Amino acid sequence: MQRLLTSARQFLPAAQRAGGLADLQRVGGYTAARLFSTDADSHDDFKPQVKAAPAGDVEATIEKDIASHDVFIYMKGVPQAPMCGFSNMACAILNLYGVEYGSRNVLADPEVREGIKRYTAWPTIPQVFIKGEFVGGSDILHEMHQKGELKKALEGCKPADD
Amino acid sequence: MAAAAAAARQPGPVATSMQLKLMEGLKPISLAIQNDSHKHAGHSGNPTGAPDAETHFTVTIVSSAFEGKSSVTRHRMVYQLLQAEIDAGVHALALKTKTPAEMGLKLS
Repeated sequence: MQRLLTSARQFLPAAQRAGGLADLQRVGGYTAARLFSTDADSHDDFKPQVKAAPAGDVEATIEKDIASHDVFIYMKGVPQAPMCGFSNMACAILNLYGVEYGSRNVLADPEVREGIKRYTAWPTIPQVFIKGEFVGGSDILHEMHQKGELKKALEGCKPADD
Repeated sequence: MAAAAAAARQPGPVATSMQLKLMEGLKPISLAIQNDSHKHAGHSGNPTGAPDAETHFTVTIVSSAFEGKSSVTRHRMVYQLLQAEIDAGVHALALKTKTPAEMGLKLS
């Protein structure tokens, strides 16, 4: 192995040879990571994010979202295909009650992802709103469900279509 | 490999730091920090799946500091104490926040 490495070094420019193998590996690892993050089928979390619109627009979007639905969830993925266990649990609980709910996929919209965290001062996703009010994340939804509080909170909410 | 497995069982630096902050900030009568990162290896938040990853935790806290506070307020208290850890890469915190009374305990 040592002999192989030694012979490989002969083909490297003097500067890299001086840096030694550790430097080489670091450079190699970095390049690989960059390739991965821009890969077409890489997870949304690791794709380069573009932040453009001013914060006010996101806030307006959020206020419109939560005003136009009795129940609204900011989640990873969509209710038919949640992309995170916590979002999945929140949807599963809401589905139990047969209420109609709106949703926004924060993985598809980095501005909303950051905007909703600012709006509620809550650092994690999912985030659930009932009748325009922030109720919490999946742990709180689950707790409300277990205590029977969710049934009460969802009273009078528009039922799901099917 | 044996060393890596042992490392995964020991609380890492992030868990230790969270424990100190929660002990100080909430004076809990019970505190459990469980590292769930291995269950999310390769997923978002823990893409490398390193055996010593500290990205996903379940934190169970029993504290009288939660007395008379809503769940949202309780979770916010925890998030505020752990802001630095969340900013530094803790991706998910499943929280169970209870008061001693809710656990059927009486403080003498």
